[in-house]
Amino acid sequence: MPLQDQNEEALIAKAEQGNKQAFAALYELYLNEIYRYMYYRLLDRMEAEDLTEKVFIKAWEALTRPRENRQPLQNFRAWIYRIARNTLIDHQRQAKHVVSMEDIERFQSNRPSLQEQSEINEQAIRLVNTLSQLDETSREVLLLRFVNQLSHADAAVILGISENHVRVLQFRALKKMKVLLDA
Amino acid sequence: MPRVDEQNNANTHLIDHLANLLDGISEKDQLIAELPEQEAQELEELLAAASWISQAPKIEPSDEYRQQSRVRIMEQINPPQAVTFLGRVRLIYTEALRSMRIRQRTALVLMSIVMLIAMLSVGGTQVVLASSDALPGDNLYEVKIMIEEARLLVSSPEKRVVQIDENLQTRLEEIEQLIEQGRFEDLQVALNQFDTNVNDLAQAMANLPPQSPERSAAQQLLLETAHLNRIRVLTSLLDKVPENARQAIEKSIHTLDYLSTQEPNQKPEKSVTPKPTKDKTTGKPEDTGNSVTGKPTKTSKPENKPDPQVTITPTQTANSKNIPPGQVDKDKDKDKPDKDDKDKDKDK
Repeated sequence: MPLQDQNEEALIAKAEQGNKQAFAALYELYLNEIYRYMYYRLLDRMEAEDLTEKVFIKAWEALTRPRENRQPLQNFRAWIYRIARNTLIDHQRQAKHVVSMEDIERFQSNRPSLQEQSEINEQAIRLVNTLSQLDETSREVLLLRFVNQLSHADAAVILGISENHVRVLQFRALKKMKVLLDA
Repeated sequence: MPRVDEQNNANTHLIDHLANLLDGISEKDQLIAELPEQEAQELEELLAAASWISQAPKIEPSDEYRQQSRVRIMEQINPPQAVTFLGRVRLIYTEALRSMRIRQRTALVLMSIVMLIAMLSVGGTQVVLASSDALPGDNLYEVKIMIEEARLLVSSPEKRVVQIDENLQTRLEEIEQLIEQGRFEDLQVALNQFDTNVNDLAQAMANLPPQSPERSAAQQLLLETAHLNRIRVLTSLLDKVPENARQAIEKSIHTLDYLSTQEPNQKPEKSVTPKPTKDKTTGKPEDTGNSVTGKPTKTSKPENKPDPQVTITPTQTANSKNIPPGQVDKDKDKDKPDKDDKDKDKDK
């Protein structure tokens, strides 16, 4: 059976044993999600591309690192998002990256694929504009839940908090979002 | 306070209702009908906001990026290497100590002590002594490295610099012996360890107080004797190794040279190329055997190799920039911000 047709668990198990082709199949499965997460957090295509690549390299290193009593990964999606989040935090710490008006302007002017579709562009810009006015936590919760369409449970694992806490943060973030959209 | 409690209760209900509706657990129309008008309205507005965000464009990377990135990643990742027996023992101890929430440095010290005791009790002092002659690829080589690491961990910052300097010398001797014995397959291990020691040295120097005499002495030692000697020895070995091992040695030469260019006392016009042995003035006994054949420029810096200040990265450097760890770069700026440094920054 071709690797890309195998189920995710089998791919993960093979990748853990150092099978690069299995990892390549996992890359294809998760590239879009991780890239989108990075993109909406950074508002910069180049940075999102760089960091997405780093995430997959880190994931490989973590997957294949020798470990005693290795337990099989229960939730690969949450696990790789967690790597993405930590990579992003490291990056922002190093670059002192704060979403600024300049970022938004860059976002507006430097998106050829979106400019081709003015309708989509408009909504993306509005979303980015609104998200940039939210605090970091609210932005993250909304992106994970509604842009990346993750469950409460996955979001909780990624953020390192309880599921109930995610529900509370989601409620507050949506209230803030509503105020901004009404303004 | 009752009003606050009521508000909190209402919020708790709404939080749960919202989460359940978003998860599809509750039926929207039915739930809205059951709620007071104000709560129902608020819930609908929040759902509308959530729905609006969900309709955000599903940004995807370009096909070009997808393919190129995949190729780059596949080139960078390597299958895991087999774990040796001692590596496995180290792994078990590190994980066991980590599970007890002991800090990594403490864990390493404890692990080293435990390992030393274990080795002494099983094989006696002979094992530890025998390990000092071990070469990369030998069973006892990891013991030798662990003893070096353990000694570093318990050394003061000043002594650590001297200690690492000695370790670097040991690595050179190992490389020479490996080449003499024709064990080119083990050369990479020694060169990796050599690069690790270079990085350790940069780190140890960065941890010394900027104005301390030890730091000045360490820099002096590093720049005036050790570096050039090591570069000469490594350069002289280039002739003796097969083509596939040559690249790794060249990389180590560049790594060393790169570190020396980071020091504040470094003259900007210093060439990457080590001087031929005839010109050497600081020869150490260990150089004389192999540095006689000191090669001219082309061996140490092939024409197709870019300038090490731009591209050479030490093998085990943690960060992705071309700066060895230990914040040598930062210290350099602090100590002596000269024109060349600024130019380097611009280049970056």
